[in-house]
This record gives sequence, C-alpha cells and structure tokens, in this order.
Amino acid sequence: MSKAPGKTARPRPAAPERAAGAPKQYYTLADIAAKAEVHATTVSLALRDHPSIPPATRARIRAVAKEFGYQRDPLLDALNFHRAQRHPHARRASTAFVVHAGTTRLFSGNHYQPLVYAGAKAAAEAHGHSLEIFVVGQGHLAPARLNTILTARGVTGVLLSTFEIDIEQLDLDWNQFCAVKIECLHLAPNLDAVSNDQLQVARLAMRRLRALGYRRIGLATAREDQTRLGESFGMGVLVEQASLPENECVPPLIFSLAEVPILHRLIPEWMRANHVDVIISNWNELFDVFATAHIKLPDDVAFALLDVPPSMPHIAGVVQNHRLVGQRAMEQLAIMTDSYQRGVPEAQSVTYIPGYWQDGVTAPKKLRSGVAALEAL
Amino acid sequence: MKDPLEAAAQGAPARRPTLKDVARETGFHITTISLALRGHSSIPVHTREKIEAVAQQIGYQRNPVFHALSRFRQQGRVRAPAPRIAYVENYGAGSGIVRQPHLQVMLEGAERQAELLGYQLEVLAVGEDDHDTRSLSHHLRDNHITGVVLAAFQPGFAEVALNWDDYAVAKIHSRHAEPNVTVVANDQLREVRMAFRQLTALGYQRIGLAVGRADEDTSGHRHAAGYLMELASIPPERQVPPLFFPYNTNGEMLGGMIARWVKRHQADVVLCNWISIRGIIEGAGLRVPQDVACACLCLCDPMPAGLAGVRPHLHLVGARAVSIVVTQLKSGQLGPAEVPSSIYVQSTWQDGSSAPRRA
Repeated sequence: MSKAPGKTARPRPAAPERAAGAPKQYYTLADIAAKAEVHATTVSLALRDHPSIPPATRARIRAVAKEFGYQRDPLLDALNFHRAQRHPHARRASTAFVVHAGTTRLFSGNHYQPLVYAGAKAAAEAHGHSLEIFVVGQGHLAPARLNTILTARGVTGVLLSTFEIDIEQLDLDWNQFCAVKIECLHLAPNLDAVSNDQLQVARLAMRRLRALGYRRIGLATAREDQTRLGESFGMGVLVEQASLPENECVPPLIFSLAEVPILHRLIPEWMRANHVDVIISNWNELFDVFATAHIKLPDDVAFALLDVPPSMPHIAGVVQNHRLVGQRAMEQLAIMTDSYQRGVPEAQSVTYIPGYWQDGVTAPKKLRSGVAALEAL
Repeated sequence: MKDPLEAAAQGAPARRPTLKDVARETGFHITTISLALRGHSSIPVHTREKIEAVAQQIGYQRNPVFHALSRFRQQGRVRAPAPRIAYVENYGAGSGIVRQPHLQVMLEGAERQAELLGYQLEVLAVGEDDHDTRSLSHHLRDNHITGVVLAAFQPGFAEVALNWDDYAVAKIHSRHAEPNVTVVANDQLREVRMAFRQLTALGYQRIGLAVGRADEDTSGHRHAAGYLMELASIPPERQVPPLFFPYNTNGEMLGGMIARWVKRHQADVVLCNWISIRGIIEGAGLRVPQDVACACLCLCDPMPAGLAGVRPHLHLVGARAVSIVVTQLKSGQLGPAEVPSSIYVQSTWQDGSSAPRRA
C-alpha cells in the first residue's frame, strides 16, 4: 500500500465506457477515484469532508469531482438511510452522553435527567448509534481524560447534558467531535444546543392561570436558575405582563440559593405585600415551604409548577418535554455525525422545545370574584 | 400521525409500513398492491378500494423519494434530476417588488445547503400576481415536490393553505402564518438584549427600540421580549417606551415618527431593524450621531458604511430550514410534528460610526 497521503487503498480502474463516443451522462465515485488515483471509499470520505483524509487530498479530490460535475445523489442517499434503519445493528456509531458530577441539586430524586437520557437513547437507536454515559468533574473523569477515552474508542458524537453555572467551559479537543449541548447554554464553547422553551413555558402558565380566573400571578424562582436559563422565566412573565392592566402585574420574587432556609418567611411576606393569588415556580421544594409556613393550597394561595414531574399528575402547571429535548438533540447530532460537521459552528443555533399545560388541584378554576378575594386578604 | 413521544417511549424506531405489509394484510401480491395504490385500471375497482382502505388503516404512505428513484430506474436511467424543494415567498415578486437584501442572503444560504444535500431549490412566489393556493398545490403535485420552506412570509400579504399533512414543511420566521411547524429564525430576543448591552457599554443612557408591528408579528414578539427584560434592569428614569410602528409604514412616515418619539423621550440612540435607519433619521432632519445615534438590528450586505449593529447569520437560517425539510423527507415524516420546535441562530455585534463611544 502506498504511503502517499490519500492513497489509503489501491485505486481501481474506472468502469469501461459502454459505447465509445457517447458522452457519459453522469459520473460516479469510481470515475473520480480512477482520475484522482485513490480508492472510491477515499473519494466518498473526502467529499463528505471526513477529517481522516488530509485537507490537501480532500481539495484535490473535490477539484476532480467539480471538473466532472459530480453531484451527490440524494435519492441514493435516502435509500442508504432507509436501508441503515432497517438494519440498526449494521453500523453502531458510538455517542457519548456527558453529564457533570456537580449537578446533583438538579437531579437528586428527580425526573429530569432520566427522561432526557431516555429520549436521546431512543433516537440514538433509531439512527443506529449507541449511547454511553460519561461523568466528568470532581471524583470522576477530568476533561483531558475524557478526551483520551473518547478518542481511543473512536467516539465522535458528544451530547453534553446539564452543567451547573459555575462550570463555564469544558475543554475537549472540539475539532475531533460533533457535539450538541442540552440545556447548558452558558457552557463554552458555543456549540449548537437544544433546550426546553422556558420563555414559552412561563407565558403559557400565565395565560392558562389568567383563563382560570387568577389576576395576581406571582413568579418565584432562584436567581441561579434565572442565570442558568438566560432569565427566560422572568422574561416570559414580563412579556405577558406587558399586555395586562397594571393592577395585575406582580413583581417576581427572585431569591438566591442562600435564602432558601428563610423562604418560609420570604414567601408569605411577598404574597401579602403583593396580594398574590397564585404562585408559579420551577421549585417543587416549595411544597415543603408552604407546609412550614402553614400556607394551605389552594385556599390561601394557588400554586402551579413550571416543570411538573410525571410523578405529580394532580398538580397544576406546565409539563416540559424533557424526553423530546433528548430526542431532538440526538437527531441533530446524528445528522452532524453523518455529514462530519465537527467542531464549533460558525454561529450557534439553539432549538427550543415547548411544554404543555396540565390542570390540577393546586390551581382550580377561580370564581369570578377576584376583587372580593383581594379584599379578603 | 405517529406520536413522536410514544415512539420514543416504546424504545424502538417506528418502522414505516411498506407495500409488503399491505400485501400481507390483504393477501394480494405486492405488485397488485403497487398497481392498486397508483390507481391502475388493470385492477378492479372494488379490489383497489379494499387495498386502499387497508393501506390507510395500517398507515402506509408512499415515500416520495423512493418513488422518484424507482420511476427513474424504470426509465432506464440511474440518475434522476435533483429532486426539488419549494422555497415559497410572499413579498410580491410578481408585482415587481424587489427581494430585500436580507431575504436574498437567506435564500442564498438555503440554495447552498440544498445543493450540498443534492436537492434543487425552486423559488416560488405567492401573491396577487403570483401563485394562489390552488395553482401552488397543482404545481407542487405536478412536479412531485413534497418539501416546502415558507420563507419569511410577511403579514398583510398573500397566504397559502396547502394540505399540510402531505408535505415536509419548515418556516423561516412567519410565525403569524399557518401551519404550526418548526420555525427557524435569527434570535431577535437575544439580538435586542445584546445590542442593548453593547450600547450601554458604549455609554448610551436612553436606548429606544423602534420595530415594525409586522416584524413583531412574524417573530412572535421576540424583539419586545428582549427589550422588556433589559428595561426591567434599569431605573425608570432611563427607560424609553418602545416604538412599534404600523404595517406598511414607509421611510418618510417612519422618519417623522422616530423624530417625534426621540424628542418626546430624549432617546440618545435608536435601535431599529431597518437597514436604512440612518438615512431615515437624517431624512427627518436629525444628525447622526450628533443629535441621536443609531444601530441596526439586521445588518447585511450591501451594508451602509459605518452603521453599527447586530449582524445575524441569515444564510445559516436559510440552511437550517432546508436541513429540517430534508431530514423529514429522508425519514418520510410528512405533516406538522406533534410538538413543533423553534430554532434560533445566534448573531454577532459590530461597532460603527453611527453609534460611537460617548464621552
């Protein structure tokens, strides 16, 4: 075998011309391979910009392809896709699902992570990928070690799941990988990302609660969550409030994680000062706070969660499509790995998945006497 | 339509029913099925009806890509002409209106991506002097086009009502228009927030946002959302209420409106998504940047010299929309998805002499 760059396999002669003189109507990979003196598989990889082919060779092959007017045939492409789907084990590109060790607050006893993973896993199988979990951070893999493992195993696809805001970047050799982030928009580098549409979630909650008769809707969330989610909850509330009368605009209660132990004091104070008739929050821990503060739901105040877990089908609020987030992230990654789009993109694009409303006992339909209720406080 | 959530829950890829499945269900030979579903006269009518009913029941749908492939094989050629994706616009091309530069950038990005994936983009216009719903659906049917990009439909102009279940569709902007499918856009919300922060860092105190109601409607009010969020973090005395100007405002009207609004609220910089913003302000008798500075939210080539603002990557917006349609065509998922998502491509800031650093 030749050691010259690009000559990884012996070139084959082109198929003999059928009729001398008749110009060929179309050219195949084999024609380009013969002319460029490389194997057809090298041409295939080169035209898809595979990093295993040296850039100079890629350029040379592309030039030949252009000269011949070669074009990828989308019909054959589609056929291949279809055939690959029917034989899911024929090709198992391996994909890493990377989570951070320090995200326990978000995941402890929680519904979120398993759902995202399940969605990604299902999509991975549909596209003939296998999905494997890697944990980075304190007590687990260091980024450099992860990089080594992924390279050694030939893993090219990386899904990054939620990372805490104090982790600002993950140092992998990104040019080697196709990668999509899930939720962690703050994490450098600016890879394409898939996220729940928290802005839509907050707007939907505001609208549904208003339709149920509530007029003093108050958002309570942590400052850390606001930062992590690009202030989407607060923004959704503000956008809705912009088209509401002034006497319906409740200033949000944004608390810091350090204030969590005194929430049982902060929340009643804020409720009283602003005549809140329903609280919306992404914190299901608030149930404990209500119990401590002797607040009865929904008599004293109604309550809707911005992220209702599947284990609470009786609670009012917005259900987020975590499973679909995982699925869409994996689908996008599959397209990227198929077309070898590695590294950090020219401009980041973010895909947002909407949530849907669920009625529940914590926010029953309110009788149209909002004014009377206000005065009773 | 298959529920994507349900398909995922079963943990197995949803397999599309094939002719073979219809054959097994009905007991006819596969070739009979094929002929019957194409309405071939050699198959008795009642047999055809029976087969069609079963096909519908088990959810058989012809995959347009394979259909085209086998058609061309039968005709003795291996390579078919590139299948087409329709890129539908409604700005009124037939009435002689010229495509605006930012729409041109989007289109070029879509064309490049389509070519890269082996498709050909066919630009189609709807409007009073162009296609209506009827002629458009005929054209698509006659040319076996099932992939459609609705490209930056403008409110107040013609709309279409195709039988969306038969098409793979993605929209660029066009939030006001049917159907409810995946939307690809530049991220107006973050663009406004980024511009606001950049201008604040340059020393501006009273930043005014001027955006057309038409653009607000196509973007789902994302300019306003970003602006409101930024206003919430500054003291009330520095807040300038946004100017949302009506549909069909021309440059001269807008100039007057902006000049009065700048004066009333003492704005020191105008943030607008029109690329002609500097000329419009100067046309109303204000000097830029001496009387008021300005920045554009949608910079694209050909760019007025020295204009500061946000540069969206509109070619990527066009490209992503085509990718979404191709992905659906490839896997044969026609019709709107159960849960349509939104895809926003991020933008970058660019300094310019229209908004210099303030002393």
